[in-house]
Amino acid sequence: MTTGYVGTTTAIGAADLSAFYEGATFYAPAVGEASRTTILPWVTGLLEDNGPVSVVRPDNVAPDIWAASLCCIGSGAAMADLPPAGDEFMIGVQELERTVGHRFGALYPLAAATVSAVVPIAAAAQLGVPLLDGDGMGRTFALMHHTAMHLGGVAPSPVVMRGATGETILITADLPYRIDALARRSVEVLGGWAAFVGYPAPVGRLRDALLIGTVSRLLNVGRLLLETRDADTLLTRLAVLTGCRRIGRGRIVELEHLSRPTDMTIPAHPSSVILTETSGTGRLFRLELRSEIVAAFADGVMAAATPDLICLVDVLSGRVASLDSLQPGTVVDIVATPADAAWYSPQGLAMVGPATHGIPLPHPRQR
Amino acid sequence: MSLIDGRMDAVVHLDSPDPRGLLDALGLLPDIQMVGVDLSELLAAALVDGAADPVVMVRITPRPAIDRVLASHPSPRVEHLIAHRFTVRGGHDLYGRDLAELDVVAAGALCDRPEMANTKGIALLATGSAAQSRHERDVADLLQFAFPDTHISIAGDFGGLGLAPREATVVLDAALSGLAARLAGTVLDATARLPDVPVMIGRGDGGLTTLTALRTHPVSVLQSAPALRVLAAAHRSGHDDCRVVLTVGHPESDPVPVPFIGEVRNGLVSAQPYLTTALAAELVIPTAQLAPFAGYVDDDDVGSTPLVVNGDDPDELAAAGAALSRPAAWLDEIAQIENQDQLEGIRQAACERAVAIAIANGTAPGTAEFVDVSTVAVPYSPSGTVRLRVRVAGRHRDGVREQR
Repeated sequence: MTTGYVGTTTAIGAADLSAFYEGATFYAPAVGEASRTTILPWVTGLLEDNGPVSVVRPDNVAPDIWAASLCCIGSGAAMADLPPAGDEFMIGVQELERTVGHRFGALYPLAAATVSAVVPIAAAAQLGVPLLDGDGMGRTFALMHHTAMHLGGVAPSPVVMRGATGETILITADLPYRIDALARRSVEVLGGWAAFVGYPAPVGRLRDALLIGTVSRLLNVGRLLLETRDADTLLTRLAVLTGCRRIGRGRIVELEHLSRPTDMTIPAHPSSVILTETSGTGRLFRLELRSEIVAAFADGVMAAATPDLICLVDVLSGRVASLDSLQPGTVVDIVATPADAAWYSPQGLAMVGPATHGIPLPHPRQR
Repeated sequence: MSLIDGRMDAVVHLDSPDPRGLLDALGLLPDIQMVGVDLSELLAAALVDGAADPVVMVRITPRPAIDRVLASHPSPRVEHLIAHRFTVRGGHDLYGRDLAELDVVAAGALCDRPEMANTKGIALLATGSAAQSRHERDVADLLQFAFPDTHISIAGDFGGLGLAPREATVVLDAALSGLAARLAGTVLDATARLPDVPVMIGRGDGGLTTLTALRTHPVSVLQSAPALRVLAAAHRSGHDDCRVVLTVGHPESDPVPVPFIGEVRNGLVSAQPYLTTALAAELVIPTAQLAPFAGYVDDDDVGSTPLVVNGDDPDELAAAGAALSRPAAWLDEIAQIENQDQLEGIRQAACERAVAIAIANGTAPGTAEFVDVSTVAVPYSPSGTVRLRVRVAGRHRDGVREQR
């Protein structure tokens, strides 16, 4: 699978990390700033000490080299309050190496978005291995098996989770969805987040399963985000790079909770944000949230839905607004960006489409 | 320092904070109902020029950081204020559940450390203390007993999320405690001829607070000047709801360079926690939401909200804002809900706590208004986890004179 991007990155150094993080925030706006103040300086320091991390396309890696994916599982808020001691991801990789009996010659992000895009760089810098230019989601989805690897037949198991408490959990399961169910319960005991290392496989198996180019893409988008703080200019430029479009500009008037039937398999409960359009025809917007924005309606008509990446740009600051800090009165642009093509396949939509969040409507692309 | 007579823009501008000058100025103005003072520039300068007290920082976490960057604060200007650092095992998660038993022996051993001798400020921060501050308080009790004259700042008092912004907040608070106490005394002396007139201090979110709060939590006063300037500019334009562009400022202490834009809603400056301050550190206390002015002037951009451009003298504007503002309070908490009724109950309880804080900050009972009440689901957390934020403002109390 190939995704669109402009310019391929061959290395990520300390000077690149701010832009990289900014791009990672665009592709998962839910978590916001909470971990930035700790994680960004930490990884920057590692890159200053150990030098840049090489970024390689899977095609350029020998097929028998093993690789593993990393991410943060759990809540960004929890990670912000209980930051890593510094060895969680590295030890997680080493524990998984012992379990599968292979050294990992490369690492890759489970989700090239938010802090989960950054922590594989930390582990790669500590272990002296390259980062694959690809990931499993191209954004973030709620569950650990909502990945392109799963669609491509690569199993997540075995999985190692390492907490900031210094404790390690090993999970093996044949059914991919059981990995998430088991991991999610363990995360709470580890303090609300953990280093997650899984999907171990030879690179030859990953070449056709990963979303390629998604690491490079973060740098490109991040550099653009840092260039301007004017929301209009920003969105015009982002549209060229990402294909995003503005659904509308509105003022937040209401935040609702438990606004749809809930289940316990997906973290965070359903909530909704109501906005009134500040110009044009004065439409009423309704955003449905479940960790991320899973659907956007304009005057009752679905304008975008997962797997589209829907984010909000604060008009006053020209920055992506994190979903954990929304307030009535704030004026935002509602922006929808197409996800990677794999997610619009029948199998992809069945896994992460709007129906999986209790919204039994066809995706706008299916109409 | 300046004074304003009610809502009139009668400004007396003094060149220095000399109490004698203020005394003379007070004698010139009739029927003074409240004295509003902005001290943030003085406090911010102290953090930079070395007048603030060096701080001993004690982290309470399940295990110490093994990385040099994670073991320090990301802002060099905050780290510079820390003379010594210690880590004690302990801490809780976001919901207040134990992650590690408090190492009481290690905490007690801190009392014998030579680095603790003669320290004037101690900052304590435990993971999860916004929900459960027991470990912080246990360590504080031990240290206060050993060092009774030392100011101890506890992160749990400020709430919020994130070790780095919470640490910055508690370190600045401890570093400023000595200077804040002296300034509070100076302000009381300067206003001694007005025994029945309340004296209020500008807060970072553009609200007001008491001299007592200045002494106990001086960090809440930081960054008030730009917030008060935005408020005063809005008032001078006659708008309660508007965007404000300030074209003149203080490059050394403003969080963003001029021209910058802020917003006033319901007569209060839009404020958020976790904004980068002029000290290059995010704090958990709210400060004015300011951004470099990008030049858009189309009213349709933000729903026909008027745009006010102001180029007045920044000191005069800040003083005007201090006299125009109102006592305020802010609450930022994590809670668990299972249904709408429970959400309503938790929201009501948070509102009541916010009103109590507002009254402690000088609001007259019965006058508190809820400016913002918002609850958002915390992403990627267990279902039912919500973040509550409440902002309250009211009229200042009459005739209450705080003592030294």
